[in-house]
Amino acid sequence: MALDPKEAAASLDDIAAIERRTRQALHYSGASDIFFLWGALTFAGHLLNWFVPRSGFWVWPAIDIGGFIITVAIMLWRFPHMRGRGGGLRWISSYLAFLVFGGLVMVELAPLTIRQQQVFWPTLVMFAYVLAGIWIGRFFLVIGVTATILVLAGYYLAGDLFALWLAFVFGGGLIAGGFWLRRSAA
Amino acid sequence: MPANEIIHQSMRLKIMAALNVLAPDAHLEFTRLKELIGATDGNLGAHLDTLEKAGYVVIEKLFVGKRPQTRVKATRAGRRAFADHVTYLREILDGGGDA
Repeated sequence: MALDPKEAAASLDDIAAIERRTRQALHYSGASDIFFLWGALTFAGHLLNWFVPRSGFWVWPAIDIGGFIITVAIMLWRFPHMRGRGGGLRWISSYLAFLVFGGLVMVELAPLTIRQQQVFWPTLVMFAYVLAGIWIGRFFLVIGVTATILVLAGYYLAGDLFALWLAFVFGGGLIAGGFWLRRSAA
Repeated sequence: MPANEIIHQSMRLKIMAALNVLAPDAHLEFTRLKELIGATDGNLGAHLDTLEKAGYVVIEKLFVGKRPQTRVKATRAGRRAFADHVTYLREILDGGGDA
């Protein structure tokens, strides 16, 4: 078999395209479980905030810790190549860096109202999704931008219903995103 | 580095490219592989048979609950053959291989 450089280049392009699509499908599939998890947790957290406004002091730390542990477990299960290669450690470090950054901003800008805190954390998370979307796939970019717009819309327009807005629009949106990812990766 | 005529066929090249992305013992379901590379059922089945006969992939048929499922993974020999073929292609671009 004799190939010319043009044919060889075309074959290598085909390989690169398939490798990109496969990686994206694997990321989407693994990410769907995480979307379901955080969608359910944020839905429950905001709903509880709505019914028990002062519960935020203990609900959100519990959600952050519990959700983080389960997220790492899902990552190591869904992405076995991360085991033993420091991948889990990178995720832990990224999550901690995210929490520390958010915490520092909250301390520096203190005192933030509960409403301001309620808009700060989801938009910070969605900023991370926008960054991820630039590297991994358009879906994360779209959900990052859309969710940010919806959270800000609720902040300015939802009045006293903001916690309920966040529960259904943000938490529910993450769950819907999980279903979309699952379908797209299939 | 010689060419691998089994792997070089367009659809088989795509199959091996997709399977090579996975962790060493990971599988891809038949339907997902079909969508990733844009093949039909019959087309994909025929090419997988060729790759299996060459020892490059392993095909497993199992049941998940009551649903039959076919899944595919690359063998070590298949990954090596794919890597060698990619090297061959790059050598052509670098001017060192066949032309």
